[in-house]
Amino acid sequence: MSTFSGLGTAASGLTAARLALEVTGQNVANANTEGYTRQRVTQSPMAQTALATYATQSSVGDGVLVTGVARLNDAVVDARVRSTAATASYWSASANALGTVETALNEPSTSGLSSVLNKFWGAWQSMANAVGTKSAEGAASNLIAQGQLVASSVSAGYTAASTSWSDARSAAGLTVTAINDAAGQVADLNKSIRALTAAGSNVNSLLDQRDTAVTKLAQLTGATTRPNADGTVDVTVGGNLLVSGVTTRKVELTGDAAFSTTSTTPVALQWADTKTPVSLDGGELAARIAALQPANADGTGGVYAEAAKTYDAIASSIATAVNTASATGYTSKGQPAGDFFSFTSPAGSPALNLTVKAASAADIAVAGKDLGNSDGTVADAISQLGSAPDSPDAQWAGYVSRIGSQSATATARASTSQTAAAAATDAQTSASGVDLDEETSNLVIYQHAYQASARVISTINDILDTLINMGAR
Amino acid sequence: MSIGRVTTSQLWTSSATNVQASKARLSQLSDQASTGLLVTKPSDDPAASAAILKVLSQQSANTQYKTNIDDGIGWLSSADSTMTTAENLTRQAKDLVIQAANSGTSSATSRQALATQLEGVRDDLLGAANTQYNGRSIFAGTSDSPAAFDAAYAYQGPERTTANPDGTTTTTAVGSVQRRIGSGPGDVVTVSADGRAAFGTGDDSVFAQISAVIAALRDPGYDTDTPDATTGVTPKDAITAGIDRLGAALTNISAQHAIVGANYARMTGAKAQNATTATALETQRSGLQDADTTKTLLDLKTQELAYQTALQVTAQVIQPTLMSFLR
Repeated sequence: MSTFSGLGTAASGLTAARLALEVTGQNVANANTEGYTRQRVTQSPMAQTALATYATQSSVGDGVLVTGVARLNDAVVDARVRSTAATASYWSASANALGTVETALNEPSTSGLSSVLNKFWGAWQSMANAVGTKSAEGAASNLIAQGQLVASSVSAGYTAASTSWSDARSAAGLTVTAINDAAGQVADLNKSIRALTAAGSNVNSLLDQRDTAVTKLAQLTGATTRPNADGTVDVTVGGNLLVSGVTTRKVELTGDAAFSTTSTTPVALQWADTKTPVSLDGGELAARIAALQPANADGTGGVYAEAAKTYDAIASSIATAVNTASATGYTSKGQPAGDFFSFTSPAGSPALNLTVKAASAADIAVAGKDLGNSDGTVADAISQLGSAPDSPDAQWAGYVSRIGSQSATATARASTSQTAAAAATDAQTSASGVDLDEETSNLVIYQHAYQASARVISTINDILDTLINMGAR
Repeated sequence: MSIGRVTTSQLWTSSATNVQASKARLSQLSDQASTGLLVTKPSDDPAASAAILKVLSQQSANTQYKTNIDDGIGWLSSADSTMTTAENLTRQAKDLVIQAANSGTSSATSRQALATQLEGVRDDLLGAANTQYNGRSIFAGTSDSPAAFDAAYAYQGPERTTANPDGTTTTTAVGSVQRRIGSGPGDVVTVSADGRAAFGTGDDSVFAQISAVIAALRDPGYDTDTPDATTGVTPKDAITAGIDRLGAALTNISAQHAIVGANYARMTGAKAQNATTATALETQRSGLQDADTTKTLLDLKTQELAYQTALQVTAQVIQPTLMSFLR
């Protein structure tokens, strides 16, 4: 044991305490930084140096050795945060899309389409009552106005669905841009981390940034990650690599950007280089693309297209039903009645082109064959069309209740998956978040450690002083 | 919440989440309290929304039936009072004819006076038969003719002639004016009266019967009992025959009046039923859609308290750190 060895031991304590105080300072500074993972100085006792082998007495050791600055995260919890975030964003985006459509229905209310249809059928009954009387023209104008209201309601509903589709299409485009940006960021960070890790530097803050970007990718696409030996991570989407070490593959949206032609070229995600489709594992973009799909036969297509299809179906069925019944009737002038509804363009969407053809009482079917011009049986029969089992009213009510249950399900699942995501984030915060109480007590501990090391030096100094001045008195 | 380590940021985040959830529930309850509605969008209760749409549609139909019933009652009360007038006039005519057959025919002057009186009654009766309601002739069925009977007493409404097995034909009026009082196929009530069945048509009509008596009273061969050139009946016999014919006509009018009366009663019953249905439907709708005011207010108060507590607790919990106690 050398005379001065105690000084070196105490000095290593000073250095370690100062570094620990610095790390504590960093933790406190980032207490509220999103994605920050707390750090802790790792230290171990310094073993006896080789010289000590020749010492005659056993040594207590040569002080403390700072082995590194650890990043206290939990990889399992981090993975759970990513997967729950993917599920939560999927259902949240689904519930949002359904909510948009559902709100536009304005049901159940006294001003929605069902109420408009009720008033339309009622107007036919008033027409049946008024035929031949002085109120006939008034009843006819009211009937025509109610017919036009039906036409404008289905047209407004269709337009709302197509506008929502276009908005959602632009939003999906922005999501794809965000995915490519985040993937690029992960690749850049991979590159820096690989280089700095090789050089032996501290990469903790870069790891935090990369984790944030990877979580973002998981949220958007349901991506999963796989760590590599060189410190980089690979990001996989649908079994294919989105980020492989320091390189990325870009994704892009295909399909028509116009709602009218989306049924022929549906919106889909594909790899920009090979033009092959990307199968998403969930996440926000999967929900957005699902909502943008065209309608299908069993009503499980994209929510916007299904809404538009329902308006089209209602426009067609109301026109067919009323016109077929009209064709059996006669006007109050005894002429065979023509169509009540018509389509301005037979090729386009029925909902957008539905219009009332009848212009006055003279065009409206009221009377049955050979029953006198003031008969109202046909008008009465038309007024009863709304209560038929396959009436436009029944189609509408069925659709409203279907959207309602879809939306309720999506909202419930969004709520459940958000609870799971919140629990995962909670667990992550618990593992890697900064606790100010803990940092404060560390501050006190390291402060005292520093002071104590300093006191050791000062004591050794006193001892040496005593020794040196022993014979000088 | 994990077991073990609890961090400051975790405390903050979970406090914020809890306060947020409490606030969302408060907002939902205050929406319910201010709109008074439990179901404002289909996803609030998908099954109930389908039922609400059904009830709203029934309510709308029921309101329309009320309009129909009121209109029908207008028609029927007009028909009812007109039939009463027609019965009185026919009875009056019959009395005059009986008078003519018995005593009041001693002189040409008194016969002329009776004829003039009968003319007045006949014209009044024709006027009654041509009564209009809101521009429509109530005895002309579904015809758009302004009068049910023309100057020759021919019925103007739509008719149908059917062949009988014995080779004769029967003509009846078709097309009655109906009002819908419910959604079923039989829920229609006839609000017009069958003018053809009540008054007859052409030469068989009650008007023509009166005219025949008038012609007989004015016949120059009355005193000599000379048979009429066209009918071959003496004026006195024609007058006597008129008594029976007017009696039969009165029976016809009364028979149709009874039908109108029955329809009127059905319509009045329907009006009462309609009001009951309206109340029942509103109760049903309210049960499905409306929020229970007492329960909502109670929930709102409870939630307000919960929210305030959450705020208070959060304020207390997140303020102190160890730093506050180290001096």
